[in-house]
Amino acid sequence: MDCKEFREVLDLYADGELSPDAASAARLHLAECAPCRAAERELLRLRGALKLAVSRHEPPPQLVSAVRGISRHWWRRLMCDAGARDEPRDARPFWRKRIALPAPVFALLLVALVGFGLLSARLRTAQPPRPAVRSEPAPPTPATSPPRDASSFDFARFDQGGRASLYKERR
Amino acid sequence: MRTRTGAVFIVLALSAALTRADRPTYPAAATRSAAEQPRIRYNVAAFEEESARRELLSETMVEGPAGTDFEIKLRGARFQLHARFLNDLISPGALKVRAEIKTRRFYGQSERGLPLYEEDEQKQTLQLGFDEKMVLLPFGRNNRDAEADQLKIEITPTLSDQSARLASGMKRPLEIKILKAGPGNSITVEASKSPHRFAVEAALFEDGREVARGSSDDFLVEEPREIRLEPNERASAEAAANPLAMSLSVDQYLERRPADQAAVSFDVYSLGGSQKTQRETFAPQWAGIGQINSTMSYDISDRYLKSSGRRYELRLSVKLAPGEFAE
Repeated sequence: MDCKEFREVLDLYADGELSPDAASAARLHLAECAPCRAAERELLRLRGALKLAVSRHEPPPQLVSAVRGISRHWWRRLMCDAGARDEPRDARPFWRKRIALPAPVFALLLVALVGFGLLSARLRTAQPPRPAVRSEPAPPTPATSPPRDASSFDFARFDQGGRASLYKERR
Repeated sequence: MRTRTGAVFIVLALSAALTRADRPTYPAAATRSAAEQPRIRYNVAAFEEESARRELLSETMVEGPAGTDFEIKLRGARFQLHARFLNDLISPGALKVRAEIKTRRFYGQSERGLPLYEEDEQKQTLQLGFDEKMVLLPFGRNNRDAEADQLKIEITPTLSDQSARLASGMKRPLEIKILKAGPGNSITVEASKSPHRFAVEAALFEDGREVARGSSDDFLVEEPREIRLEPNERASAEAAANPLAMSLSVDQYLERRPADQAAVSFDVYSLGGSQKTQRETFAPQWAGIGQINSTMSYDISDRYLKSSGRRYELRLSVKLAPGEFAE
C-alpha cells in the first residue's frame, strides 16, 4: 500500500471498517511512513476533539425520556400524518388503484389474445405429428444452397465429386 | 614492456568475458540440437489448371526448423478441406511426411430441411526427398473430363540457407509469408512447431518393488510403438512368466504451465506362451495426460495376475528424445 492508497482508506481504517488484509496492509504502511502516521494522528485528534465538544452539550433528561417514550407505532403514525398533509388522500380501494388500463386498450388486448389462441390451434391441427423414428432414410433433396455461406469463393467448378488425393512427383 | 602486454591481455580477456556474459545461455542439449537442425522451407502453391492454362491462385511460404508442421485449409461455400502435415527429417536428404486429409462436401438437404454432408478422412505417409514435391488434389483426379478445371496444390520442400539461430544467438523463429493470398481467403496455410520425438520409460512395480522395465527413445508423435517390459531378478515367478508389453502412442504435446504435458494412449498386454508371442490384452485403450519428465501411475492389480493377491502398478514417464527441443 502506498501513501495515496492509504489516504483513500484512512477514514475506514480509523473506523475499523477495513477488511483484515487491508487493515494489516495499512498497518504495515503506517509502520514505515511518518507522514501517514502524522495524518492518522491528526484525524484521531480531530475526532477526539469533536467527540468532546459534542458530549459537552447533553440534552435535558426530560427530552430524552420523552423521545424514548414514543413507541414505534406512534412514530409511524406521525410520519404518515405528515405525508398525508401534503397530498389529498385517495379513498379508492387498493385493487382499483393498481388497474390503470382504459377499457378500449383492455378490449384490444383481449381480442389479440383470442386471435392468437385460434391461430395456434389451427396450425397445430394442420400439421400431423411426424414419427420419431423413420424406418428408411428419405432420399436427400438435390443440393441447392449450403446452410451458411462459408466463403465468397466457390470451388464448384473444380468439384466433380472426386476424392481428395495426395501423391509425390519429381520436380 | 611485460607489464604493458599483461595489461592488454587482461583487458582483452575481460572484454571477451563480458561479450560472452551478454549472450543468453541455453542448455547444452538444446543448443546442440538447434544448431544441428537445418531449417526447411515449404512452398505451398495452389494452381487452377485447365488444359494448357495454369494460373496461380495462392502461394504461401513456411519456413522453420525440422519438425515444423503445417495445415492447409480450403473453405468454400460447399466444400471444405483440412489437410494436416506432420513433417520429420529422417535423414539429411529425406523427410517423412504424415498427412491427414479431411474433406466435407455439402450434399443436399434432408426432407426436414437439415444439411447433409459427405465427409471423408484419409491418412497417408510419404517419404519425400528434396528433389521431389507433394501434389494435393482436393477434388481428386479429373478422370471424366480432361479439359475441365482442376485445383492443384503443390508443396515443395527445400533446405533453407538461413541459419538456425539469429545473430543475437536466439533461435530463429518460424516464418510464414503469404506471397499471394487466395481468393476470398478461401485457401489458408497455418504452421506450428512442437516436439515430435519422445523417449518413454515404463516400469512395473510389484508390491512397491520395481520388477520389470522397458524404454524406447524413438517415439514419433501420433505413431504407436511397442515397449516390452523385461522382468528383473526381483520379479515373482508369476510376473516373470507373464511379462508385460504395451503398444503406446504419444498423441499430443501440450504446452502448459508450470510444465508442458504429453497425452498418451496405450494398450497393455501380457505376453504368454513358450515364445512369449501370445498377447492377452487386459488394459485396452487406456490413456492419460502427464507432465513431461514426471511419472504417470496406473494400478493394474485388478487386471494383471489378479489371483496372486499382489499389488501391481504401471508407471510411465515421457521425456523429450535426445536432441529434441521445445520452442
